[in-house]
Amino acid sequence: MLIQNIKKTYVCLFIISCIGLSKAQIKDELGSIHGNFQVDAQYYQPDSLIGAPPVPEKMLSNAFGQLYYSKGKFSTGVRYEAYNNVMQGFDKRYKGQGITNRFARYSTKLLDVTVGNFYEQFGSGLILRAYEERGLLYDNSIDGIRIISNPYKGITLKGLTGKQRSFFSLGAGIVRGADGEININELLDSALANKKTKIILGGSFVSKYQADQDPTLVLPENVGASSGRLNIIRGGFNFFGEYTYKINDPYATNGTAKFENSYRPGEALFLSTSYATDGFSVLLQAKRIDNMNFRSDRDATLQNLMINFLPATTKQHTYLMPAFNPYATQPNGEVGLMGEIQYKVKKNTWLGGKYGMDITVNLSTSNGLKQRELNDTAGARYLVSSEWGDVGTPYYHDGFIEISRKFNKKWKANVLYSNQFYNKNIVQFGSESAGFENIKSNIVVLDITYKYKSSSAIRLETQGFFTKQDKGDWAVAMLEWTPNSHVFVALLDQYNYGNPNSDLQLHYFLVSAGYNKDAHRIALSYGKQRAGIFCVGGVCRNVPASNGLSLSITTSF
Amino acid sequence: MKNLFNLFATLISITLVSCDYVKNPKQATTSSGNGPAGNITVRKVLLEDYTGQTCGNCPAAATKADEVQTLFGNNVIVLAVHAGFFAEPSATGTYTTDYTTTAGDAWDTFFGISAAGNPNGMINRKDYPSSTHIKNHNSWPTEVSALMNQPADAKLTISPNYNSSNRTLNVDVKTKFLNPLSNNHKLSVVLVEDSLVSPQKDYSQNPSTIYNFVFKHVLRGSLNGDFGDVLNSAPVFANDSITKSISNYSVPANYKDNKLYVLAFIYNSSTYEIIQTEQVKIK
Repeated sequence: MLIQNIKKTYVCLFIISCIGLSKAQIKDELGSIHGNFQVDAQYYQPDSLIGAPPVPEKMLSNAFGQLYYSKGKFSTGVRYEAYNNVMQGFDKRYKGQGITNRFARYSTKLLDVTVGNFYEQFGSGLILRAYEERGLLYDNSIDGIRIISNPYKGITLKGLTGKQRSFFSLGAGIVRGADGEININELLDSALANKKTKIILGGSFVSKYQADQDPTLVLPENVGASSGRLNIIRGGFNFFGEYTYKINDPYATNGTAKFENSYRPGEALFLSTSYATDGFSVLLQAKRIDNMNFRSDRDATLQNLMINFLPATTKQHTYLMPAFNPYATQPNGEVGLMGEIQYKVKKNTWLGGKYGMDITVNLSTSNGLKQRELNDTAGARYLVSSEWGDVGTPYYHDGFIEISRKFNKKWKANVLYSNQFYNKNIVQFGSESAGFENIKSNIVVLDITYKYKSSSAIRLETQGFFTKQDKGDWAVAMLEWTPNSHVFVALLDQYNYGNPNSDLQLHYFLVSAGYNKDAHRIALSYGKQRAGIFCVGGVCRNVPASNGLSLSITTSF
Repeated sequence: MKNLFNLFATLISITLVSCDYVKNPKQATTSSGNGPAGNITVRKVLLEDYTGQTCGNCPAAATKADEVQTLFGNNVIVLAVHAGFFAEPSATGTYTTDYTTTAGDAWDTFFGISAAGNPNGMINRKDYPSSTHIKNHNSWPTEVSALMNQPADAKLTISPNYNSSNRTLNVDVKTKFLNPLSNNHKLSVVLVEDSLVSPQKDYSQNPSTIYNFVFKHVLRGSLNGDFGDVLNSAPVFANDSITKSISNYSVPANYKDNKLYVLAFIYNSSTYEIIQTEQVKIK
């Protein structure tokens, strides 16, 4: 009996292991599939007080799903997007549905080939960066072919050509690019393998082609840009620098409101140095951008068909009020500087307490360039000169200090103070004469978390935004309850109590709740959102206020 | 491996030479709008400029439309549509003038123009419903030039009959098809007023408020609904003629009748592309 049982058990184990084996084999033979889906929908109610317009469709939604399949060196993927119709605040050219991204890739060390849509970045992106930001519906992927190769240790070469995505179609221009990167230490490994200092050199060339059929202007059909970069790493020290130069590339958006179509060449320099050691780090960044609008269609506006990406040298805040007036890099001309120090006060000291205390101090500034109009003797090009070191009007500054400290197992707090300057005319309207006052503000945030059980917490966030300009003072309070790690409920009120127009001293309430488990997340919210104006390079779009019920579902597998 | 290096070297050298340096940006010869010789009916081009009084970048687009008009003469017809956020009049202050119209608002919403930003426009409403139907003003000369001097599929004759004593307008719009066509078409008839004077924001000036800005070819309203009337059901044959009549439209008292035009255009009901446009003064 016992033996029989043992036999049975063995047989069973054998069968199970066989099944297991065959499953693994099947999986290996079939490759693996993964993907994700997201649906965002909102039901709109008009609200004349906050300026929320009636929405004829009543309900709008943005949805997408993507599937990836890979097996060994081969991978492929597809993305479907549907906007019925696109939600308020996004460009209405996102209308309808369809396949917006599909690719196939075969990747070996010597040769890695992608056909279809791909994302790519050369260096810091000053010359080329194709990327997507789903939440903003930003997608400038390139539809074409890309080859990456590591022909020799320490050497990476990239080449690409294609057209960029524009909503549900492709832009008019062709983008071509090549990039090479040499890791000196890897290349000369016998001599330098053990050196502490690592050096990486890189260079890129990107060119775009767009036919010129303009009856009045001679426009350059081929516009080239080149770039060189250097990265030095030694222990906690890291230096990165990149310089890019672009030949004449006139746009509606690269001159001024008076003189459009500047034929001036563009250039950009970005430097970043950091040093980090245990409990202490310092970061210094500087950039100078001069006429570096680079698009694959010279008539594209807003965020469309950009080839490059100009990195921000300002801090992106996550709290609402410090991020109330966000800064965007000005491609026509800007000098930016940022310095940041992070310091951790040691544990078991008077100041640091049992858990230590984190302090961040950050200062960033952005100014325009002093541009002087030039008489063009050769033709009638609109040209300006701007000297290096000749800094123009202030566009933005942000100086903040943030301290976070855990007091005991139950209590922790985060405090932030920020002083900001915001040139609304330039950042929102791209013109010195738009007629708005510069916004000077003081912002405070106090964020307290009370963890009453290991995975249950209550968090209270209070924020104040104090200014004499624009819409005046704001107070924000948010209460968030996380009864367990799967559920959250939050109440938010943004109160514009200081609005100079007493009729507009409004509360913007928002109630939200969410549930997540594994890779699935569902969130509901009901309330009001503020209006805003969004401009890039001479074209402005109003993002209307909204009021209503929102639903968001995401899942991945 | 050597081959790979060669491939990249070739790629880089190809891309390096592909640079066009422009010394003189003025085109030596410009196209003219005189049209082909003889009695061929030309397809006129409708340039719609979506604008607003508080849109500080919009005067640049109006200037561009003027340039296009100068370049191509009567073969291009410009229509300024005041719609969207920047066209909304404020209750008090400088920008209280209202040039918005129900038809203009309906077009702006339908074609998504102000949602894509101002200034922007359409040329014969071409390329709808792909996203490329919205044309930045910088592309207008190129876009219009590409449609110049094409033979027309239809001829429009507008015969207005305006009684200035009681400000009543009757219009007959005759469409004569010149070629057989297999699509359905619609006819829109609108009223346009020229030389209106009121404040406009202009970022090329400092201060940016221009109090006596002259607004040209402003859409004042539709005479036959936001999207016009059905003109024909397919198919049509060459020399088919259809006359639509609009009677007893009372011209609002604040419209200057000596600056008013009737503008009519025929468009494909499914693609919305305009196949012919015409305009005449009412008196």
